Amino acid sequence: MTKEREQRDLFPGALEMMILRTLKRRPLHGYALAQHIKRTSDDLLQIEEGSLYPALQRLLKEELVKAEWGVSSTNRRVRIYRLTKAGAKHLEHEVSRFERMLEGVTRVLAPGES
Amino acid sequence: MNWLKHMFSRRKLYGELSEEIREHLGEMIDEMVASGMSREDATHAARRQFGNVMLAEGNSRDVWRWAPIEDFLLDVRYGARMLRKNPGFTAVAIVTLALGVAVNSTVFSAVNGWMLRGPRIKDPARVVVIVTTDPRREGWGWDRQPVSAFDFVAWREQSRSFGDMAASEWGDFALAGEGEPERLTGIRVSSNYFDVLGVSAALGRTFLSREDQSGRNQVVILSHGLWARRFGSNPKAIGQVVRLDGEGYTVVGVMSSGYRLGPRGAPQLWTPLVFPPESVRPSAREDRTLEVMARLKPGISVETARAEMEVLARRSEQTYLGTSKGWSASAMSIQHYIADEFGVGMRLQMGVVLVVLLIACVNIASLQLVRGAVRQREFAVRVALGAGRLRLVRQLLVESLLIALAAGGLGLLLAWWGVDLFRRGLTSVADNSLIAREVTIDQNVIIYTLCLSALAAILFGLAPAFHQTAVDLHSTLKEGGRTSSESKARYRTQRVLVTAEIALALVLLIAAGVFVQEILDRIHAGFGIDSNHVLTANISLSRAGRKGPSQQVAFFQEAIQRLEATPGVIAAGATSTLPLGDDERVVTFSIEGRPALSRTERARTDYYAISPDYLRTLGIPLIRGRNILSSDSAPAPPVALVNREFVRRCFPNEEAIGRRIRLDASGLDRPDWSEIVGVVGDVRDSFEGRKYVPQAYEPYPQKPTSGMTLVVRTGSDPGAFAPMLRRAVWSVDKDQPITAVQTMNQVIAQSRAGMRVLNILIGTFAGLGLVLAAVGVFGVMAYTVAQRTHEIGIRMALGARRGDVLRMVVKKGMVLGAVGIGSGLALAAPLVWLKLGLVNDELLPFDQRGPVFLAAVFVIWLAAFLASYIPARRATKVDPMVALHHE
Repeated sequence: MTKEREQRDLFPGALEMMILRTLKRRPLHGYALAQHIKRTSDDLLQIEEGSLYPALQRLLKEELVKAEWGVSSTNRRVRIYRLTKAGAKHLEHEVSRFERMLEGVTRVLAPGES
Repeated sequence: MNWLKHMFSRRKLYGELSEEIREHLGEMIDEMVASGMSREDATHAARRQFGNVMLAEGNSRDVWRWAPIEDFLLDVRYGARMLRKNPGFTAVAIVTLALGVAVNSTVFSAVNGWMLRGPRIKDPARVVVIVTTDPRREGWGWDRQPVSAFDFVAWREQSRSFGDMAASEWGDFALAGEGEPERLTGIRVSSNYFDVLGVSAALGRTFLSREDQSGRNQVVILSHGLWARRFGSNPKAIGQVVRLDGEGYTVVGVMSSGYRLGPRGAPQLWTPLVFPPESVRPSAREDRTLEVMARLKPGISVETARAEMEVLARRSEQTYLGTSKGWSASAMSIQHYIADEFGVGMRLQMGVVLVVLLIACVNIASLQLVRGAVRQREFAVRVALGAGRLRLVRQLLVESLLIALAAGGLGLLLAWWGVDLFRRGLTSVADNSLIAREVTIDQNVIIYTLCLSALAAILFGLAPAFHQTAVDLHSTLKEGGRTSSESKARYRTQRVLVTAEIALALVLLIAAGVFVQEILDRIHAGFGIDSNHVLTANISLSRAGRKGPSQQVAFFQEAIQRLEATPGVIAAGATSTLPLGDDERVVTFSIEGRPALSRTERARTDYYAISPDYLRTLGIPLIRGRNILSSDSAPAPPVALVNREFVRRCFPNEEAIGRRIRLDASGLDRPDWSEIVGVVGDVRDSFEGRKYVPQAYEPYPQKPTSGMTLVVRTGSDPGAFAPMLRRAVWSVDKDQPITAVQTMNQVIAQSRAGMRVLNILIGTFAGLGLVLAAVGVFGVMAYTVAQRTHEIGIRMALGARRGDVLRMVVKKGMVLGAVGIGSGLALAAPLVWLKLGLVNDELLPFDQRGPVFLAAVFVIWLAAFLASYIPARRATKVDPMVALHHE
């Protein structure tokens, strides 16, 4: 179980951020969302698809995304998630926070310079 | 509020979530099939890639929930369902625990009523009781003796630690007037008494500052109860005059019904305490009758006050040399003073009932362990589905809590009944009925019961919970529910439980045994009197016209004569103190021709002022010399009788008859020498005392008192003689109250009623604990052996003889028994030195108590043996083939 958890959460909020970023481009349903994240990350991130759903529920609860039932390209009844205004704002905020953090980490990790 | 909103739409939310995940999986599979996989492979691959579906769905749902509370509610629902599904286990556990809890609640309600519920006065923590301490340090209560009026007056003036100091003295009052004359218990108090306590009257007022002076003291404050009973709660009672002891007292106030100082019963009235001039002379320094209370000044601690009192006592001792040599004074908080009165007996009871509860807990714990084996699969399945260990532990604890809650409720019901029994036991002693009233189930008791139940739940639930949830997933699921591979840890726990149970049972048995032995010893000792066919009645002369000694003597002489003249009477007499009935009256004495000692250094004896026929009436034998005769009247030379114990101690190698002694009775400073004219048999003066004490008798005309107990020996049923006795007394004076009309056998029964109640309680508790322990030990042992049926089968199939197997199993049980007995003896060791508060300090010596320990060990040993032998025998009787096929 501990192994599972390691894979699921890169760091708290990472998955949520990626979901929001993906949805910003266009609304998607769960399966497509998972495929997209996998594809764009070139399978570098081992994400259990199941872990997507608790994250999606959290976002729904905080009203950063909203969902409505629709029909997928494969003709399945699916729930399509769409970014809300609050979600877009949250994403912006989170991304800038993440970038700052990344920059800091990179600087410390960068060899030679000080 | 969002949470609330979500709660109602939750069903829809969850449904959508499930559907969504289903579709997700479906889509994955479809895609994989489209890329050429078989549908079966695709399903597996999709599941692997997706992860734990249940967990994902569970975690998603969790987002919408208020997890801690909802999980708890879920646990409760699940737990309740599990308990319902196992009615046998549930019932046994609840009833066992309820019994354990009920006995605790019952005893606690007494402790609560007597020791915890503080006095209803203002800021009780600042009120101290001033006591004197006996330098001989003999017996219980040596450090809390009353204070003499002389010392009180001096110390009130000299002390600097207190805002004010008040004195009080219990007394009897005869209330006459409309209706039957009545004897009441009241307190005479100094006028500042209620101010020191910080209480005011519910109606009217308390005493004014000058009302404790002679001439102004004819005022009385009524208790709420007396006011309601005698005056029908009429507010107009204030200002009315009532006749107390033949004199008119004006009612000035009524106390509230909630006013209470201590647990020793409630006074029915208060009158001012007046010090007669002779009581405040230095020579009266040793007449200690007052209970003194004081309120500490702000910033002064009890310790400071105590130190000051010691200094003051030393100063008094130096100023009045020769009086109260070595006596000191002390101060203790009123709460401490009250709580200690019930000390040891109650502590013993609390101990006993706690052991009973512990045994109940151990029983339930072992039951749960056994059940845990059955539930292994359930837990394995839940772990497989992703439940964490803590979650399972919590689940089990919730189940335990549910049991505890139900048991607590049932326990309270049982305790309600128990308290009723307890009170009824106490009420049979007139003096104790007021104490009994304090024993009730109030909110403290309810809270205590519930907390105790919850604590018990953790106690019996935690260990099994951890053991049961240590699931070896692989083997449990694979072996299809066979539990032969039970964990070593569980065996260990079971052994610990059995050992603990044996130890606890032993402690209980020894405690009960020691106690019962003490009581049996006292019953067998006899009392030195012939109590059959004797009726007694208490007379306290109170009318103003009977204040003088000669009138008192005349009254009793006349009453005794009329009784003797009544048909059916064999003998009639009177005594100032009834052995076993009243508190013994102890006086100091001197022997003529021996060095004179100060009063505190003199020897002590029980003292009785009696009528000539008293000894004959009670059947106390005359050993030597002559009895008291009616010619031993006031003007005749003073005479005395002493008992054998008196002779043994004071005249071991001399003839006692003809010697003269001086008994310091009736507060006379220089009483006359009395000649010993006879030696009589020993009489036990109280039920608790084991040893005989010196006793001295004087003819009552020579030492008249206003209160005597009439004793009448009748030819037939003494109880039926009561109306004749009343008529005879009332024919002398129709206004004379007569109280405590009872047969001598009733008096004796009551004298041990306190101990009898305690005896019954401790006996019941111990018996209950033993039964529980026996059932528990037997159950666990039987189960352990049953678990080994398979192994025993193999051993026997391989050629082991039945005797060998039997020995092997029994040996294991006996080892546990030995360890249990060892630890039990260690725990019970303090009982060797135990002093039961009620039993004064006279306990049977240890060499007599040893057999009780031995007997207890033997009983427990036998029980342990049977508990392993019987199941072992059953196991070895099984056909090896059956045993092997068993699982």
